[in-house]
Amino acid sequence: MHKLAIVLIIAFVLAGCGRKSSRTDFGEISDSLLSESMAISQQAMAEIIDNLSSPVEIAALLKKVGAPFSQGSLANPNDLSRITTENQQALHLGIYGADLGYLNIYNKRTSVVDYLTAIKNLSEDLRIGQFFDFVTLKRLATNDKNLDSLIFISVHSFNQMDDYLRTNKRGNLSALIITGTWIEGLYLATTMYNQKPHPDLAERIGEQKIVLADLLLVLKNYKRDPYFNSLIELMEPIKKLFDQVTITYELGEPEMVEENGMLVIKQNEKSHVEIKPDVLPKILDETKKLRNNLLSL
Amino acid sequence: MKQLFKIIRLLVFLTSILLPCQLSGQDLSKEIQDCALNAGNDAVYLQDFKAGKPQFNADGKLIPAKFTMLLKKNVRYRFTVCKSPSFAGKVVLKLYDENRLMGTTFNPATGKDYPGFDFACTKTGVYHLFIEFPDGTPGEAAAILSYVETK
Repeated sequence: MHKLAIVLIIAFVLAGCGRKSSRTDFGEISDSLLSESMAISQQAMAEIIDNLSSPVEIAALLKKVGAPFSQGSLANPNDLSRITTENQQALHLGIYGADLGYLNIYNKRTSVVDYLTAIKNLSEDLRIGQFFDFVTLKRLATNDKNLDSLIFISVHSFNQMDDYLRTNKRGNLSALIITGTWIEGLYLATTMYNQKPHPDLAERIGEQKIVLADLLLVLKNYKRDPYFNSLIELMEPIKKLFDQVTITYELGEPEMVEENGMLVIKQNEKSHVEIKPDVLPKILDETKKLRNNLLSL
Repeated sequence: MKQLFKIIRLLVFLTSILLPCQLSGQDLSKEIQDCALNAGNDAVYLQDFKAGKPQFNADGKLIPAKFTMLLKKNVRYRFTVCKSPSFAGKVVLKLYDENRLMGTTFNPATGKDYPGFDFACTKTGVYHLFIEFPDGTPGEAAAILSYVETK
């Protein structure tokens, strides 16, 4: 009896050690279709490229080219009642994550709390709320200082949620978060291009051909799930348009130089994006259509 | 009663083994935040890459931790070495474009080590980052990727 108690204590302590801090017990995903394709999908998710779609980078580019802030372009964070399935929740988590990045980069803190609240609710529904430090983020958002900390904790929370999902056989949800972030980032870029047609913005839009190809590879791993199948079908028209974008490369040798004590690597190899004049407006239109379709998927 | 003392002793023993691991993990998380926030006034945190559990090849040689990422043209990125304060070993970051070395925190031409480097990206594409422990002794370390704001 005592030996049994000792064994149980050891098992309890060891089990507690292996787990990341969590408030809830994570069960298996009930969808049998997903679990069947899990082995392939986990491998695909392990190979997914990091930094595929960064809300910070796209928002920083918009700010850099002088695009005005546009609150009206963001998704409404106040109506979550119809977002009921895990797939919808994950996709919207990505969309709101991109919007949060945009708000943070433009330092529009008055709206940040609404998006933080939406993200908190969705992440809790998905049982990954333990990685989202809502209290600290809300405090930072209502304070004029510490923008760096606000951005760090926001982005880091998303990275942690993504890591957790990928390593806990829930890569399908990670793929949807990335897709949501990507489409919202592209939507903001294309909307702003209409207002501020800067060549750097056009180039960044054209480069999404590379991102979309990787994203579709990941999504296709889960196509046995009808939600993913619908998503892939919705993305087909924009893929066909991106197929018409040409990316060429100009070779060059990298060099390492020291500038003000900082080591700087200059690449000297260039990529060039060519989008035909009649294709770009079609991409802008199709992005708007796709994003609005995804909001109601 | 005797048995209860045995159990308490066992719990104390297990805690003494497991607690340092837990604290060490927290140590790196705290360090990552500090590293990210101290990467420069012009740097905005994007991601961190932890070296993780050390892996060895068949010859017992330490395999560098590898990460794959998409970097975009006309963006200046900053890669910063981040170590747990309890780890005194050397850490080197190496950035590759396919199989070609773009840059490293160790400049072989001068023999100088740097805490990080800036990468002025002019080609959108997939890049590979390696975290190496040249002494052969692994430790808790990470690389911080930041976006550098430029005019």
